[in-house]
Parts: sequence; structure tokens; C-alpha cells
Amino acid sequence: MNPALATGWYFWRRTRGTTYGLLGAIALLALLNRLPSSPLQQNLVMSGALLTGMGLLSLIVAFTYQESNPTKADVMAGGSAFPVSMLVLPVRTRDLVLWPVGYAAIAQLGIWIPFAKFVLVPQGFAVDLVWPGLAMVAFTTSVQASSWAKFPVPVGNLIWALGGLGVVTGLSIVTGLGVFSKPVGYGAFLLFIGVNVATSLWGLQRARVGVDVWRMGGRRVREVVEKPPFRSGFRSQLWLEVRRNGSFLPGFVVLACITMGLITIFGRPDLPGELGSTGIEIPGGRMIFLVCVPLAVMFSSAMGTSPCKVDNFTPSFGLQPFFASRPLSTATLAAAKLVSGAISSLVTSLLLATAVGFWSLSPAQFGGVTTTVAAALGSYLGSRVLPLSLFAFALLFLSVWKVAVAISCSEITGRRWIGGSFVFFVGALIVALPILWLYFHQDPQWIKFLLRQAPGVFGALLVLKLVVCVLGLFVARKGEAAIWRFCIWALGGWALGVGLLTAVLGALLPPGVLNSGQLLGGSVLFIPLNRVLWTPSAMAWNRHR
Amino acid sequence: MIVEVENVTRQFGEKRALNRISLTIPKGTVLGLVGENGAGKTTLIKHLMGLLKPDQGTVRVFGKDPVVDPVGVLGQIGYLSEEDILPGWMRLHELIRYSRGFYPSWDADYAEALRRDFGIEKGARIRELSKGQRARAGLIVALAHRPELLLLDEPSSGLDPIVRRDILGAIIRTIADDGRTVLFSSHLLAEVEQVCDRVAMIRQGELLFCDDLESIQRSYGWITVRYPEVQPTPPLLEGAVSWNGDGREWSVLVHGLPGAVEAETTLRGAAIVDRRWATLDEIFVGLSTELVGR
Amino acid sequence: MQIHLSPSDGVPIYLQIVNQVRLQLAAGRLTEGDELPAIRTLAERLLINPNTVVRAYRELEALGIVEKRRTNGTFISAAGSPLALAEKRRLLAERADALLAEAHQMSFPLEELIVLIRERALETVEVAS
Repeated sequence: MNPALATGWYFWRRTRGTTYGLLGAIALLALLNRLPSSPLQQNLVMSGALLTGMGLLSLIVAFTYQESNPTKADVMAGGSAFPVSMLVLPVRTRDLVLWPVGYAAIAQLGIWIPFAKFVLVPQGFAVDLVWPGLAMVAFTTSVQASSWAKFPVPVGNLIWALGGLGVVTGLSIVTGLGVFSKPVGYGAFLLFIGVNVATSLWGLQRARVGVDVWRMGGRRVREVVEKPPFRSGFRSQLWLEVRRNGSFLPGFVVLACITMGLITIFGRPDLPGELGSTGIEIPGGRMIFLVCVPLAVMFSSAMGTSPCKVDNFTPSFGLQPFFASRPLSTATLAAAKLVSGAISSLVTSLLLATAVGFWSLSPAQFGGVTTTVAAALGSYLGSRVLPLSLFAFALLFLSVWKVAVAISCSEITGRRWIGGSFVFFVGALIVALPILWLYFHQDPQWIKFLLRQAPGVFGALLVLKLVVCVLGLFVARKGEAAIWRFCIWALGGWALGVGLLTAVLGALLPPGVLNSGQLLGGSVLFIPLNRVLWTPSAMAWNRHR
Repeated sequence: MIVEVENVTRQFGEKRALNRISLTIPKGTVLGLVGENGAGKTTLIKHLMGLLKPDQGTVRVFGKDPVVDPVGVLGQIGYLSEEDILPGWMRLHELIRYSRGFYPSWDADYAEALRRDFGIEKGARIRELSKGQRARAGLIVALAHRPELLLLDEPSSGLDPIVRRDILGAIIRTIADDGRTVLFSSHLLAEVEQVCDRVAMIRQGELLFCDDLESIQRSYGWITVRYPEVQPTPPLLEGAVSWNGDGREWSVLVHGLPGAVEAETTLRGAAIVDRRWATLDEIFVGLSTELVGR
Repeated sequence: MQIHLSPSDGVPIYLQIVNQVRLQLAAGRLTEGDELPAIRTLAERLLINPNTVVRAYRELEALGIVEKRRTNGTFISAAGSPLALAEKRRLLAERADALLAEAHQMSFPLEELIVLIRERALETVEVAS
């Protein structure tokens, strides 16, 4: 076997599982599309398409960062992040570049074209078969070029990456809107891809040969600002958690908001071209995309690129020895993680609230949701605007925190099968819920039946929560004393939260909407208890193997 | 007793990593832990820190169970390992500030003195440092709070002699200061001989011996035996661990009293022509290859 | 006092220290009243366990070569000179034993060995002058 082929196989082996899986999913959905059209079939296919789309995004991430972790590159030297062990193989530089680029291109196009043709188009989305795939390839090659090539200018790779992102976004919008004709659009993408591949070839050769980079007057030694020492281990660990993953969720939300903004601006049915037809007619408008944020995070965490690990690109789940050997009780470590999650969620909620406020002022207006909601509440608001908005913000913050803590559970236990089954469960829910919704809103008999079952389901959830809580307390009793104390505090805090929420809801809602029993039950279910209670025990299970 | 390990057994799936190991380390001792790769040294050290729970048996450090009381145990342990476990993105001054929060006994002046001695810049990122500098950074974090127990898991592997001297110097200063305890696991047996009071050897999860260094050195030795006839295969001798040579003269590494060996050799008409001490390295290699065959 | 440790000959470190002190005493590099380095200083210089130094000093004390004084130091004892002589005899006797053993193995007669030693002594004197 010649070295070039071996190199090619090396790049292929890591992503072939996901690629085959996605192709299988597309085949399944294509078969479903053959069935006679019905709302059930539509919903099934759309849910499946959503999941497949998520998988495709994960695959793009995998291809893009497969051999190059841009964060490891020496940015100030315009450096290359290509693994040195591959540079010393007896293959030409063009083999090192063209094989991964080739595989990524073929895989991405090979997944997108059948996906578009057999899944999306039959459902009525008039998407082009070619240019979105080209856009993915362009994105991947541009990031690869920025991290493989050794640029002669400091921070050159960062500039290239950001510039590349801008070009891809711009070309996508322009082609989607139909400003250029199709062939011109394709040509522009191909040209951009060619430029990136050429840059990769040139830059990797420079990295291989060790061309010296020109530094702008030598590296400046930054002045070190001495900060006061931490007063306790908890504060130290909290600083670390916030530094390590605090920016992940807000960053993700910012990206999602930008994407949403673009879709909202350009996804209007009155605009020409394909982008205009990507508006999804689900009540609530494109707010549905915000749900994608936690979902995508869960998917990537199942793939091993969890936001909560030390290094995003090493798929290891155990607690790193450096952190497991901190002289802190597991309860304190867990508390640091939860508090850092809360800080992160707070920032995220502020960003979301700002974004929602911004959009409610925009002409697109979420398909009219904001105006209807405002009209419904208008008569009721009056002097209660401020407390109501604060209350809404608090609910938003709690919801984001609940999701963030639930996501990090796959990392906390350190067992991959838990994270995987969690994602599987949520994925199954995504497929099942729209189907149920279908039955909900079409069959009045079902609605009555379900309304009658509602108290039973409610009660069952309450009992489940209670049982899991008691189980958690049993497990905590057997562990460190500190964990037991933590659980008692969590229980107390939860009780306080329930009382507060019930009281506030009772005060704010108009009388007679819900009785006090339902209010109490709802608060009991909403305020997170088990997530918090189980965290230290789950972490202890990971720490002491 | 600082460390008490009693009948600890630990299995990973099929493999038995530790098999009924019992070990004690009195205060002020420097214990050298030697063994092949995969013998179970790191597993044992992880048990002492509570990172692993024994399937059977008990582990007590400072009289406490490290799994039940991590704060009490880990707060007085300084740990240095061969793996790169420091977060790469942290700068040195951040690492020091972060570590300081955990230990009330942190001596900031001592940390600063070490940093200056080692010549590491405050603003340097851990991942930008060379391997030796990273080891030194880890050493600062392990030593600055003057721990009662220093756990070193092959700290010198892959490091240049200058860094190794720094690490050994740190160990010596630690024991010289109020007799703190050190557990030192290493492949460089010359270093173990230099620094340790007691030596424990683990092979495939079993504890072969745990004894004072001097007793070990006295109970092993090389003798050169000359036989009247040519011996085609290594001749049998009571207590022989390892053989070397051919024809009439054979060098034997023996375990046991020299008198017994002499008696046996004269029985066969052979003569002992030379005697010398055995280094710990030779004992280790001899014992490791004993059952595998030569 | 210069001590060099040899890591690869298997001799216990405390014995190496004891032997080297005796050698230096015999060679006249150490005399009565000289102070040996503090335990901690020597341990840090040689990178060995301080207990080893303690052991070595204790052994030397048992042999009468050194003594501890009230000023908390270890010094070559006053009985140094006669000991020096005894040391010299001991060391040279060891060398002589080794020479005799080798000669015996080669079946070299004792009288010829003595003749050989005289010859070598004369030659060394000639070269020196």
C-alpha cells in the first residue's frame, strides 16, 4: 500500500461511522417520502430531517477540525496547527492536503445532494441541490486553510478564518437570493474553494520546511497584572469553571442569534430565490431555531466535543487527574460547576432577552407572535409591566440553567453510555412529539381524553420527581458527609424556590386561571431539584472509580 | 503511620492490577516504588489519592479514607506525575493563584523563590513551556504548600538531567524539613538508591518486597564462580536470581546469606573467585526476568 | 572535602562516604580538627537522603575517626594521627591482598613477586629523579 493511500485512509477512518449513519438515515427518510403524503408522514420526515441536519452539522465540525485544532496554533507566529507527526511521513505535501479536502468534499456533497433531492424537495422545500453543499465545503476548506497554513503575518490564520467565514456567508446569501444566476454562484464557490486549497498547499509546504515567520518587532512580554489571591478553594474552582467553559453557551447563543437574524431578515416569503421559501410554517415562527441551540450542544457532547471538558478535541470523559486531585469535597466541586453554569446561563439569558427585544422591534416580528402576545397581555399589563418582565426574565434564566445543567450531566458521570442514551432519548422525543401534536390538534376526542389524563400525568411526574429525590438522598447518605449537607441545602433551596414561585404566580396571574393546587404542582415540577441533588453523587461516581 | 494499605485488591475487567497488597509508610520515610511499566505503581498511587476505590481491602492516609474525606487527605498531599495534567491555556501566575486558594499552608514567598530559581516567566502559558519547564511548574504547585506527603509518580521520565536534579533536590529539602514523607516511584533506580530509605517492588500487581534499602543491598550480591569443567547451561545454585557468563566461569546474582552459597559451591568443587555488590538496577532486572526466562 | 559518588558499582552510599573519608585521612588531605560538612549541606550537595549522611557519620564515629563536639559539628578526632597510620596500613594491606590473590591465580611464586616489587620501586625512583 503506498503511503499516499495510507494517509488518505487515516483521514477517512475517523468520520466514516458518522457518514455511513447519516447516509442510512437519509435512505430511511427517502423511503418514508415514498409513502402517500399525510400530515403524519410529513411530521415524521421533518423531525427526521431536523435530526439528520443536526448530524450533518456535527459531521462538518468533525471534518473541519479533524486534523487541526486552531486553538493549538501559535497565533502570534501565524503558525500551523497541522500535526507534526504527519508532516514527517514520506508523502508529498499535496497528498497531505488533497486527501482530507477530497474526502470532506465528497462526503459533504454526497450527503447533501441525496438529502436535498430525496428528503427536502419532496416535502416542498425548493432548495438547490448544489450550492449549499458547496457552501459547506467552502467553509471547511477555509477553516482548514487557516489552521494548516503557516502565514507570514502574525494572527494571519485568524484573519483568514474570519475572512473566510464572511465570504462563505456573503456568497450563500447572495446566491440564495438569486442575485447571481446559478452557474455564476457555483463558479464563485468553486473559485473560493480553489483559493483555499491553494493556500493550504502553499502554507503547509512552508510549515513543513520550517520557513521562518516575520515577527512584528519580536513578541512583547505582556505585563502581568497580579490579582488578589482566592479566599477559598471554592472560589478558585469557580474561577476555573467560568474561565474554562463559561463562554461556550453565550457564544453559541450569539452565533444562533446571528443566524436567526439573517434567516428572519432574508427568510421572508416575499423575497425571491430559495432563501425566501425556507420559512417554516410552525406557529411561533422561527423561534423554533432557538431550540436548536441546546440540541446541537447535546449532539456535539455525545460526539465527544463537550463544552465542559478541558480540551474540546480529546474524547475523554473521565475527570482529569488535575481536577480530581483538588483538595475539595466533591460537593464543593459540584457546587462550583453549578454556580458557573448559573453565571453562564445568566449571561445567555441577558443576550436572549436583548435579542428578543431587538427582534420584536424589527419588521419581521416573529411571524406576528410578539404582536399577538402583546395584544393579549396589553389590557392586563398596566402597572405590572416591570414585575412581569422581571418575572419572565427569571423564568427564562431558570429554564436556560436547567438545560445547561442537564447537558453537562453526560460529562459529570464520566460514562459515555449515559451521555449517549440521554441524547438518544431527546432525539426520540423530537421525533415523537410532533406526531403527538398532530393528533392533539386534529382530533377533538383525543384532546378531551388527554385533558382528562392531564392530572394523572401531572401526578405521575410529581411522584417520579419525589422518588428520584429520595433515591438521590439515599445515595448521598452513603458518600461523603459534605455531599449529604449539600443535598439538604439543595432541598431547602428548592422548597424556598417552590414557595416563592407559587406566591408570585398567585399574585401575578388573574384569579381563577389556575387553582392553588395546580400552581403548587407546577412550581414543584418547574424548580429544578434532582438535577442539583444528583450532581455531587454523579461526580463522586466519576471521581472515585 | 502516614500510609496504611491493607490487603488491597483491584481489578480492571479481566486484569488484576493489584493483588492483596499490604504496605505501610511511617512518617519521615522516603519510600521508593519500583516495577515494570504496567506493574501497578500508578494504580497504587491513585488509590492513595482516592481516585480509585479498592475492590477489597482498605486504604488509610493520615488515618483517613481518601474516598470519604478528600479534603483532609488531599489538602496535605503534594502530587507530581509524569503525565501532562496541567491545563495548557493557564498562565503560570494564574496557576499559582488558582492553586493557592486550596491550601491554607501555602507559602507564597517559597513559591516565588522556586519560580525564580527555575526561571519560569510569570506570564508564560503552560503549553508554551518546554517539557522540563512544565515539570518544574508542577513541582512548584506540589511543593509550595509544604505537604506532609509528597507523591511522585515517575516525575523524571523523559526529563533532562538538570530538571531531574531539581526534582531530587526538592525531595531532599522536603525530608530535611521536619521529616516529611515521600513516595517516589521511578524507573531510574540510581535515583531511587540515592534518595530512598525503603524500597518496595511491585511485579504484575504483587508486592515482591518492601524493605530497608540497606537490607536489600546486603541480601543480594554478585559472585563469580569458577567450575572445574565447562558448564553448557547455567548451573543450578540455591538462591540464584540471575546468571551471566559461559564456559567455566559464571557470574551469579544471589539472594541470601553468603555462607550458604559458599557451602554449596564448594560441594560441587567450584571456587568463588570474586564478590561484589549488586546495584538496585541489576536486582530489579534480575527479579523481573526470573520467571519469564532468560 | 570532596566526595564523589559512583552510582553504578552497587556499594551502598554510606559506605562510599565512609571509605572516601578514610582514604582522605590516610592521604593526609584531612587532618585532626577538620570539620566535616553539615548533614543537610552534604545531603543537598550530593543529592542523597540526609539519613544516609547520618549513617555514614555514625559509622565514622564508631570507628573513632570523627567525633561530635558541643558546637554541633562533626570533626576529625584528635586520635587522628595514630588512626591515620592504622588507616594507611589497612588500605595498603587490602591492596596487597588483591595483588597476592592475583599472583596466586596466575601461579606466580611469592619470591618472584617480591623481586618484582623491588624492581618497580627502583624504576619509580629513577623516573622521579
